[in-house]
Amino acid sequence: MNWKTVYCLTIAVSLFTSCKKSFLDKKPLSTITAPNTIAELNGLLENQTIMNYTGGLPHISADEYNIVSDQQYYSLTTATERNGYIWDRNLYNGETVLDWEVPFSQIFYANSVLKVLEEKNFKDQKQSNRTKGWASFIRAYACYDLVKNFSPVYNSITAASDLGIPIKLSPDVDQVTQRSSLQSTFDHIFRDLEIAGRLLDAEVPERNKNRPSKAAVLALKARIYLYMGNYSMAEIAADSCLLYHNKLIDYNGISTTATTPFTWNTDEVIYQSTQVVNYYDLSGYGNVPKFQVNPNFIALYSDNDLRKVIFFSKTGVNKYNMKRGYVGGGSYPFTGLATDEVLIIKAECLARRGETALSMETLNQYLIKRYKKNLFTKLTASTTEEAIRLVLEERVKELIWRGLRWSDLKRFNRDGMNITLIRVINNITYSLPPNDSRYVFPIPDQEIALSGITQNQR
Amino acid sequence: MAALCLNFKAEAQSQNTPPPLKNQAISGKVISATTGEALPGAVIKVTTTNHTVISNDKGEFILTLGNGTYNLSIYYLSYKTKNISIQIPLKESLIIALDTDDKNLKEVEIVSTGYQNIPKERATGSFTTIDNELLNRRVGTNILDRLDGVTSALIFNKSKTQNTQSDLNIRGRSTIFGEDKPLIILDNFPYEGEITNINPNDIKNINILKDAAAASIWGTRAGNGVIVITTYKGSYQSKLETGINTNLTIGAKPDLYQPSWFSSSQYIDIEQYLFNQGAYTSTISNGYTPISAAIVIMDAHAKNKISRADSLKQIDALKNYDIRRDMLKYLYRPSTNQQYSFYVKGGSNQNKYFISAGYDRNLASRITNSYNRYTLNANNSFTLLNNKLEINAGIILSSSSSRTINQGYSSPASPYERLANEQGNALAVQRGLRLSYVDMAAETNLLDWYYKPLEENKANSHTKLTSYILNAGLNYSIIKNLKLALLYQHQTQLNVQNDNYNADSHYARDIVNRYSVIDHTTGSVQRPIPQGGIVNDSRSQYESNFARFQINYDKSIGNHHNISAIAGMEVRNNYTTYINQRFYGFNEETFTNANSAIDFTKDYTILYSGNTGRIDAGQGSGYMLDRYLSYFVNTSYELHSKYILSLSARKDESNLFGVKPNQRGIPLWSAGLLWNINKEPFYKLSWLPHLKLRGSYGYTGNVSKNLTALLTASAGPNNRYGSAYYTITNPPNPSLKWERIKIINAGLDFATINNRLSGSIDPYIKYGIDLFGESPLAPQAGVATFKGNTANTLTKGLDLLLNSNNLNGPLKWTTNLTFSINKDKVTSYNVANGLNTSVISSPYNSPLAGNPFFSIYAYKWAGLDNKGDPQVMLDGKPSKDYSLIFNSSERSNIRYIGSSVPTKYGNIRNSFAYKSIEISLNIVYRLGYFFRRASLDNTTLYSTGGYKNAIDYDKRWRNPGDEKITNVPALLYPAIGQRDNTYMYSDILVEKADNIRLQDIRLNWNLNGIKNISKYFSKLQVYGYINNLGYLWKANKLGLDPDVPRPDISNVSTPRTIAIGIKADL
Repeated sequence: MNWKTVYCLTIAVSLFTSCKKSFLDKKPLSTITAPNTIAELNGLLENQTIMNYTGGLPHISADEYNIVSDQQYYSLTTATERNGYIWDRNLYNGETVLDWEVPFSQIFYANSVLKVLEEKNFKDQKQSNRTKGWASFIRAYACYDLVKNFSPVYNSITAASDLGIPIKLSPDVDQVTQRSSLQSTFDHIFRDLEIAGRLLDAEVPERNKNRPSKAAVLALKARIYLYMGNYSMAEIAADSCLLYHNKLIDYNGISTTATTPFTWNTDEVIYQSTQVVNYYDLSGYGNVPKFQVNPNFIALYSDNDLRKVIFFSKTGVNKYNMKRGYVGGGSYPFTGLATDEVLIIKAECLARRGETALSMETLNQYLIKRYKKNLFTKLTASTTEEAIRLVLEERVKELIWRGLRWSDLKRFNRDGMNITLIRVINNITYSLPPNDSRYVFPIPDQEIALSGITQNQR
Repeated sequence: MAALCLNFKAEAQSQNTPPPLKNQAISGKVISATTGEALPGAVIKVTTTNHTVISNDKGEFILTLGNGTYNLSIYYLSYKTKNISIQIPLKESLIIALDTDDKNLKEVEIVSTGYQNIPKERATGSFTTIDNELLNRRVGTNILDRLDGVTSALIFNKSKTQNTQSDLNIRGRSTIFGEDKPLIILDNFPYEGEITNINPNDIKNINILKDAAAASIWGTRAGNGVIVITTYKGSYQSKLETGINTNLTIGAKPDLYQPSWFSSSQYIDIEQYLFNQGAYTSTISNGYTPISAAIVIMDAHAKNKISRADSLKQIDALKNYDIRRDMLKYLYRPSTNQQYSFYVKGGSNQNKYFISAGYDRNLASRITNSYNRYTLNANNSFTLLNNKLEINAGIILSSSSSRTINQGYSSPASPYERLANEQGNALAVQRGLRLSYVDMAAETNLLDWYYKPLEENKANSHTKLTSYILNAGLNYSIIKNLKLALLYQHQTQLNVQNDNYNADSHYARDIVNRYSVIDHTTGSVQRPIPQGGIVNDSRSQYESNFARFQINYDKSIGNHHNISAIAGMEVRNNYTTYINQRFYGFNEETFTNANSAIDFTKDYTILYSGNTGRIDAGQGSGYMLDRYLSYFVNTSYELHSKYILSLSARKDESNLFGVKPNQRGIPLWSAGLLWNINKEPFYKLSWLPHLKLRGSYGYTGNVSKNLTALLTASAGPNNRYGSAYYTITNPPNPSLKWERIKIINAGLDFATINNRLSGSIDPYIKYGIDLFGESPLAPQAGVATFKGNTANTLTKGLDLLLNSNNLNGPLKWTTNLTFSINKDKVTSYNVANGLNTSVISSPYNSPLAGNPFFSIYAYKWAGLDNKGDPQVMLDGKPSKDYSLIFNSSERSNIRYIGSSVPTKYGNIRNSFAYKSIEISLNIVYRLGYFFRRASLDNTTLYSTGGYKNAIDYDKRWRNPGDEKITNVPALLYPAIGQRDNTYMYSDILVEKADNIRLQDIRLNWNLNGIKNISKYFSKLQVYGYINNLGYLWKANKLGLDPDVPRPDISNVSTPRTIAIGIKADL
């Protein structure tokens, strides 16, 4: 009896332990996964809480708006907004800096995806290539956003010695990377864009503008080359982009009363992104009492210009706030890539090489769709200077509230336009002279404390 | 207990001689004369040989004796000692029935760990037992509520700081971000169904396992302590018994006037001021956002649509209305809870059974809400093979149904809103849309858009909970000392929630209208959501299967050594699935829906705002799976019945995701030592016949299944482009470990002669080791923090239990006192860079090393300045630079005030009995903690619903100089959030929460003493119970209820309840 029992027990125990492995291998929650299929990897890139965001510091530092009163200035929610408005050397007061963190999250996601792709070597080459192109694009988009905010403007003479950003090539969270040179940062961005351009689909996905395409790669290249001052490359990129995507919206068909005139997938959008979810007081839609759109800019629009009623809502005497731009909701501005920007890049490049007529024709392509029907007079320019002036004025009027103004100011001042920004609070005048070190945002203290990378001199 | 110990000493001195000639094993059994229940742990002493044995958990014992006559003394705590004489060989089986000793009746002897029953006398661990009588003192539907305020070490969290916080904690919180709920064991197995499935009348007792020696047998689940709930069973050889218990509880309507509101008239004045400031201009201009009736009148007057006289007249009319009066009249009633229960139990030689049925019907104070529950509990055991094999089977069924109103009227827009007119006819109130907008919509072909709360004042949400638990067990005695047990349990719980918004409900009409498109030329309406009801259907199914194989070994070696051991393994599988669905255009007649006609991926324009939105598909599904394989062993060795050493070890392995197989499990162990000092020869304190010292050391564990060692992601909802997306939940963490809690416990149990005064003291230290905490990563990593085993905590405490029999004559008076101290602190936490504002507003997310997890921090108040602006200390100076104040991380700028949960707590219960009347009063005290009170909040006052914020309004700064007499800041328009929060979070608004309350009174009238009644009933009792009588003392002088420091009409102090009932046993 006893022996029998022992015998049975032994069998029971060995059965128990042998099936133990598979018994404990089942995952505890249906919602968690170790991403290892292409669909799951794409799912990481579809994450709208991480992807498709760019920084907000360039917006709060630029001159597209001003604060209506001292009282409103003091009621700004974050210290960063208050300091950013007057370009204080001490910018963050210990606050979280999403401008730095969010792009690095995007890079972490992209690197995680690229690592799994490399390890898995999926059979479906086409699908896997598309995902690889997507992740590469995301990395490039995030890197460019970081480098235009946290590094000095690109200058081919000093780029090899100027500091760029840390280039993260692996998702390993323990690994600390020091800052690369500005030149290597741009090289890295273009390397990623080459890969993305080769692997991504040509068509802009009509219902999923959060996904990049060849057109998006080219539009981003055009934007970056323009920032670098490489007009010939910018023009080529812009031209090629327009071959893939040249859709324009006729504003005559857009509601002038709706607070959300456009949608997330509005025709002109090539790639969707918005400002990080921060600094609402200075960038939000609707009647935000604290700021008004720069009245000098408002004055540029003629009464026949539909943009005046579609972009802005009048919320007081001479006070204009923003309606939603090329987004379908939310509280933060569109910062993505769109046909109009590509056309303006092309027009600027043409103007700069003296092709005034072609330049103006390029602007007129979309301008005719911005004015009330039959009330548009085509732009013409008699000199290169006039053409450039008209293009840059259109750049302000068409691309307002897209987070582009700050990087434009950086390059304009590099090229000698000598623009000084002025703000007055409590009867104190604050000014930002051209090429001031404060055009480069400081790296967050937490990053310096934990990784010891080099801080910007501000 | 006292008698028992004295007897031992007396017997030890008398040495008797004649040795038996031919030894034979005789077996016997000790039972209770009144209940017939087996008495495990009874001491059987052969006075002639001075040989003793102890009965096992079935009350059985074996003596080895030669032929002859022997005198036996049988001792059992709270029973009268029995002396009998036996003749060997025995003529009939030896069953010894002991009579209860009334003096010691309240003592409970056996503690249960869920794996074994241990006589408390021999338990080295720290246990608290709440017996049936104490459990039944309280009347109610929920068994766990009955533990509130009656025992040490256990605290109920009355005002939670986080929604996920456990309702109750044993010896404080043992984790930072891990699971904080104690493990609940129902009979032998962990119970993870709804606790409300359990009928409290089925519960025999509850044991609370507090230290490592008591709880570590539950391994990784025991980190937060264990509550072992034991249900009634039948007894062998007992007569059939039946009984009923029924009661009715009536509760007051909630006190809606507890929150401090502005009167209608005062609030209209504030609205007038704000209106003049232009605060409503942009709201009014959008045409659809609700504005209060007073503002409608002001606006009409401002636009010259009505005269000044008319506007004043209309406004005066509003001043007479009071929405709380309407709500109390139409939405609330006194609550009534009815409870009925019935049982039968009994047993023969080979069989025992217990069957019970219960029915509860609760009508909540909100007139739409009700709950009812049916329970059925049956268990049966029988023995075979000459009592060597015992087979148990049991079933517990529970079915409950809860009806509530979803989207009911709960938050008035103004204090003068009205639910009905003078004739009692339902009036429309604003919900989401302005009344004038809805009036306009009535002119179109849209569906009626009015919301009349009284027309929809009925339950629309129905939750059905069905649970069954099947138990089967097999006990087999292989040889004398060795037994095998095989236990199995299956539980299924089905939860079906059905929210039915019929086609006429405002909810359904509103959603249909919102997405409608009006063709302004033809007036026709196109409806992307078809007209009809909207139904949300959520179903979840929980299935658990447990199996346990266990070996029990008990052996006495000689007269002095006793070994008792269990070992076994256990497998567990918990599987929960859920499916949520939403149906549009639901037709109750045909039970069909129109979902197929809806495009859920399209961005529709919202009719009134011009914003866009998608139609919520309301679909969801998923599962949760918990699997465990565990091995356990627990042994105790007893020497001379004086020293007992216990050792316990367990290894749990679970399906942690993405963890290397060798890291899936964790071994946890404990050791305990017990010393019966009073049994030492040198012990001479005759006034203190019972003195026992305990000590234990060991580990319990805790696990978070959300952390994994691999890169893992969780599936989110679809993004705005309609694609599924994943969020990375944690980066790979190859060194992931389980949380451990090390507990060192000492204990002293004592009793004076006749148990005049008895009790126990248990000081303890708990170390939380390898707790999940967050460490900061350089932001370039792309992940802000890394969750890992980086935090440690230290808890020191003491549990005290004292029972005193003050009077023992015709008038009996006993006092039971419990006292617990529990002080914890976080000893290491790697993230120390939180801003002061987050430390203050959410300390549970930014714990600071050196302070308790539940702490209250505050800015150091520095008075108002001469403009009425609040100032607090910043770097040693009064400051009103609110941004710097918020964003400072310099901790000297804030003050740690204290714990936000009680650090000292307990109760004193006095019971009196005179003839057939018994009365007991329970006083509960909670000390050593703080709460933050509300005060005038500028921002809230000047925003929608500001009428709810009348506190300290009259004390506000109004004129220069007021800063000398008040701390309440001046009101500013527009309000500045940081300025308000600086005041709200300053130390002058933190109050001591300490309080003493008369929790309840219980009155029993025992009728079974009356002759004619005792013929039919073994017990007949009529009882009354009053709960929540009120505070006897509160440290705060503001009249605030520390449990509800910020009352709101949906969260007021628990109303008083009165219950009456009858309990009868046949």
